[in-house]
Amino acid sequence: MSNRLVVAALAVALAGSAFAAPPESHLLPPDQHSSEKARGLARKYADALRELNLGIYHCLPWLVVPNNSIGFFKPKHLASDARYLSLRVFVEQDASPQFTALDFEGRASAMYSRYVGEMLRRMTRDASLRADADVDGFSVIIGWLKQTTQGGQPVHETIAIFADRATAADFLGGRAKIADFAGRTVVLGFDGQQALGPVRLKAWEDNFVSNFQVANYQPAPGVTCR
Amino acid sequence: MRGTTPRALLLGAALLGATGCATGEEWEVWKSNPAHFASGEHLKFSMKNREGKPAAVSRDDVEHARQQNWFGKAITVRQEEILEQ
Repeated sequence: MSNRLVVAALAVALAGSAFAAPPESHLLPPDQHSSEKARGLARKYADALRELNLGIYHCLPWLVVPNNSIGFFKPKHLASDARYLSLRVFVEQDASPQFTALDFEGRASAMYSRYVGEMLRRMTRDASLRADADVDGFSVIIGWLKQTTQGGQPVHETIAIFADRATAADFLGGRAKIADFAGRTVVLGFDGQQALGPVRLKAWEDNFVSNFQVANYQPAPGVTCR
Repeated sequence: MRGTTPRALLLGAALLGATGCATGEEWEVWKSNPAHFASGEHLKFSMKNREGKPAAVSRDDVEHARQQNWFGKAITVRQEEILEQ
């Protein structure tokens, strides 16, 4: 093989390894935030947001992060320029008769218990972000496939959870259990595109995310999951 | 359902192609979504993992499977209904 071919093969191999990186498009670019406060936060914590994206992409591969789903957004139901670090994920999971048999609140409670605490911990691994007074709170949006279709199209159920900074700090600091935390967060439900309004959920400890591993899944070389 | 016939044909063809190359463990890994066999990507996946050996699932495998857009475009709430940029 000529040197030129070796170089070409190396280039292909390197290009292939770059595919393992999560798309930057999961993050809302700083300049697309609509206020200077939000743009400043997005620039300041760009590395923390990339790490969040990377960790979910490689270590929780059954979660889908859509484009522009990580950033410092303003919750629509709040009047001021309150900026919440927000993350949206879609959960790919097996169809489960038990899960399907629950009502919406039941399914939403199960998803809340399974993912909200874990996502919040991942979102606040940077201590300075957690302590930053400009970060007014945190929101986690979780979607999953409903076991019915609408006109042949799949339908997602979604919950959006909002925790102000004090509420999040109490949970992260161990001063509030997940059940108490759930009672203090605002949760909005959606059935497809239809808003269901605020929903009251029960939450319980669920260590699924810490313990579950996709069978035979091998994280990319150099990736350490924690 | 729109697109059912072509999808069923693809599924059938892929299943025929996959016969004999998917191990029991692969089925366990991928059975969560029967439509995983709706494209040729599964054939590459099966060939990479030899019979009798545990299937090695990489992040790229997950991404390739996902990119086939198995379920079609979903009806879901737009992010703009919840958050403002």
